[in-house]
Amino acid sequence: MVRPHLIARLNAGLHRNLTLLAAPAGFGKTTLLSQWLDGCARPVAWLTLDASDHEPTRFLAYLVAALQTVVPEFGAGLLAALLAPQAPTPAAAVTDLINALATLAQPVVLVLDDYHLVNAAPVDAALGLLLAHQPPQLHLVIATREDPPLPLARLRARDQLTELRVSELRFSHTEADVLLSQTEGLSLSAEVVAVLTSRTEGWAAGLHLAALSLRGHQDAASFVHSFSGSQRFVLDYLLEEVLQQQPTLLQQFLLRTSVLDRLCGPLCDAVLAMPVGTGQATLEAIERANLFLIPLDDQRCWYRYHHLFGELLQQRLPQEAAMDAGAIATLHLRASGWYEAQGLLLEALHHAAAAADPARLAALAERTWAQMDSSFQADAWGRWVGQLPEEVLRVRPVLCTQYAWALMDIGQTEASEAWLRHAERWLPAAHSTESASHDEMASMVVVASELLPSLPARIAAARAYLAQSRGDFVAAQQYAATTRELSAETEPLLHAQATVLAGVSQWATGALEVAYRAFAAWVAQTREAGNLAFALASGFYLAEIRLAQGELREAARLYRQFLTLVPADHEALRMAAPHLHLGLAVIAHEQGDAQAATLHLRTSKAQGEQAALIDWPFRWHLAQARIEASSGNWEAALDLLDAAERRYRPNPVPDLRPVAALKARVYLRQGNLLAATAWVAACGVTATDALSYRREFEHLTLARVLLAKLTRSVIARSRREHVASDQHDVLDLLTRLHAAAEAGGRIGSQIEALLLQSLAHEALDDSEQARIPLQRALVLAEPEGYVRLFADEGTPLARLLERERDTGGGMQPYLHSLLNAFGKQAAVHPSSSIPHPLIEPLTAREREVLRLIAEGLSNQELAARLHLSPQTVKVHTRNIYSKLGVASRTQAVARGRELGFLERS
Amino acid sequence: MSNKPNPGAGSGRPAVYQIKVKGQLSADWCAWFDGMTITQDATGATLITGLVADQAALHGLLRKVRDLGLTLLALSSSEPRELDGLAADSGDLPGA
Repeated sequence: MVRPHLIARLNAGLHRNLTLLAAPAGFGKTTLLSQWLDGCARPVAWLTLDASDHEPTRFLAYLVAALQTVVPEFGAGLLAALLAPQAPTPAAAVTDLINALATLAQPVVLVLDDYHLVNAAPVDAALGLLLAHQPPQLHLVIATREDPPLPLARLRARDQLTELRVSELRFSHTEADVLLSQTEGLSLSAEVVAVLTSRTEGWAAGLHLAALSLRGHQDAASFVHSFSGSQRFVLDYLLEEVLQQQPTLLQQFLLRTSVLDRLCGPLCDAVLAMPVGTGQATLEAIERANLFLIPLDDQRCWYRYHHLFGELLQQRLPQEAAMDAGAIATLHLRASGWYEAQGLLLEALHHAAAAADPARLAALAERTWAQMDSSFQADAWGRWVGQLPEEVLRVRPVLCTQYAWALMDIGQTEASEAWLRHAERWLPAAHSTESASHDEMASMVVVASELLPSLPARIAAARAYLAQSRGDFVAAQQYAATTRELSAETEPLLHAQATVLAGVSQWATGALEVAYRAFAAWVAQTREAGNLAFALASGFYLAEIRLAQGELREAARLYRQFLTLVPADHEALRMAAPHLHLGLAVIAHEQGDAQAATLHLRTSKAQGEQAALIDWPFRWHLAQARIEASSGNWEAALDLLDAAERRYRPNPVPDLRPVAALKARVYLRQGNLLAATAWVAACGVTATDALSYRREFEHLTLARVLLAKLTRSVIARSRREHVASDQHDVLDLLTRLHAAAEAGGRIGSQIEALLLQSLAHEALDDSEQARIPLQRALVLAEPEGYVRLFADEGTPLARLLERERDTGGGMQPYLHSLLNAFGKQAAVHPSSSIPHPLIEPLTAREREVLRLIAEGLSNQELAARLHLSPQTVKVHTRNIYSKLGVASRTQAVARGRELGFLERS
Repeated sequence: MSNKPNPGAGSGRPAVYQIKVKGQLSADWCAWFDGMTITQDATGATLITGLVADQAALHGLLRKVRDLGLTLLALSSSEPRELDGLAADSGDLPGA
């Protein structure tokens, strides 16, 4: 029902800064607000908060995003900055927000609903700051169960605050009369209405339940009499009343389904063991009866109970005669079974755990491991298994092995090894050093018995991974060989995995083509087998290997190709996308395309913060550090490298660019030779070491340190006698590094060694000699479009390139573009017009629509092609525009290409 | 029940708390409030009493009171021994 006097008060308060609705649960705050705003002349931005919005930057980002729903172009730069790795301080962001609001042509209303859930002082502080400098264009509305810690007294004193509290939100006698007679269709005497209003104290939830009770009563007077005579808590009393009036079956239904977080017909059928179709019919009946059931979608498929009502039901469930702990556990077990059959395994595990039945949880976990692992959900799976009592887990060799695998995935190598040893005890003596005794064997539990024969091979494969993660390549190769031997006939997938692992070892030793072929075969095999998850994860490495070989264009092509394979509507597989965008960002940066790099980096961040593979945070910080260093922000780069190091998790892919070496390079560019020299000592590399691919990056870094020292001594013209030997060391090391890179087919490393050679000759005043390696470097670099490799060397190399340009040699256009990049900031410009990243990915259908738009189909043609109504197509295009942050078809297509949703034309 | 400040209350050690809310709540709610004891007083109000692990656990209980829309009338604390074995003998600490 509409409450005109409250709406009038809310309207009258629009000229003030803040409207506060503060009242406990069930007083109709949200209902009132949505009614008010439906008829409100001003555009309304609505933000419903939850407990995860306690971080001020994230809170402000959501706030800006909410404002963008009514003013699409609002604060795009600010949102991007808030999502950027080095987000502005909350105070700075609020200042920007205030400035952006002050430029609005039209006033807006911003609603913060459920503000009590935030519960974080930094968010309160940010909001307080906004209120203190609030531009007249903004009217703020806060709905909460508790007063927010904002300077309310000051706002009241200045007449800047409209408050609706319990005393206002309470239903008066007149309003209750309207509610009960008009909305609920009851005809009651004034006296009865008065009694109900006074007993419920005008509490909306109470009145609603009272009306429900009355509807089922023949004798309204006697119900009202006993209700008013009781001193019991209103909801407790009324719920019992309402429940008792329902048919027994419906009562049972309500109470038993309260164990479910969300409900759908078939799930209810399963949980209550009812005939098929009963659940759906009952849910629809409950919704019609207005029994606090909230539909979660338009198809009347999923529902949930109003929180207050659901909690009351749950509390009451154990009081039912038949409902002891065992019976409630049965409900959970049925829910678990249903979810498992639907393939919703996380929910299945949740209910198995709620049933407090470790054996069921263990059995379910054992059966679901492969599926969870192949959809990147090993982490969540591992958290449930980690809850099992050790004695339950220990006697299950298959589960132990799977758990070890899950722990390995998240870098917990020691715990992983411990569970492998537990698993091994149950194996035949040939595969085990410490077998379980004969008596013990009786206590072994195996659910997925089909996995038991392959267990020795699986354990060997896990050990191969663990050895590889430790950098013990000899052991890794041995375990991989064992795995292949044990799995050759029986387990083609495991066999292939072991082959890949051997390939990874090859990668670490520099046999990049061998490794590439192993991965490529694996990708082909997994794609053929329909396992997109494995294909995506390995596809990423294909690109990484090409990158290690310096083939930027081919690497970018691979990243983009795999990006088009990521299904947007598959939550787990989407986790691959942030990785792929990161790769594209690094390449765009190297090629001097700052805008594309920024775009991919932001997209990677926006998506990666929602969900990403385990080593994404590490890689993300590395990429960001690289960009900061290119802009000369040394301290920021060093901080990011430290942050990256803290996020490193051991994994089988070799770490060929250790963070310490990356930091040493920043020290050098900063001019901090002392710190760089300290790295040399700590790292232990010397100019006369035998070279290996694994330490190539460190040796190149060493060459840089030696070169810096040489340059310094030449300039100082002192200690002349040392110069000769230093000179020999640097040039010899660089010659050897170049030869090794050339032999290994690594273009990037070749270019780097050549550039350093050139700089060394130049430092020794041998300009003619300096030109030779420089020209070779240019010939190698031009086809791949390298830019930052040159530009990051700074002034000394710029001088060499200028000379090269002025002598009028070949490759003039490339030389010009390289020289243009020198001194240019490769920074991320928060205020630039670069569109913000895609926070909400496109659905499969939206991508299909976008693809057809790119083909040039009109909306009518599109509708016909997809068998949709023109209206639906319009909704899709509108969603696509809003997700991509564009306003036209052409822009949508361009942005789709940038983001890799469409093949490049 | 004494209302004098309890040295245990602020120091992160368990203390006995009593939450008084309006209206009668049946003892069935005991499990809902983490095993606290639920009784009625002479005025028709409900007393939720028990050993509370620390301040965080106490705020968790108050949040349950808030989210059910119960009217909070009073909150007091006392030494565990003054409880006459009400909940002190139960080993369960809510929120512990």
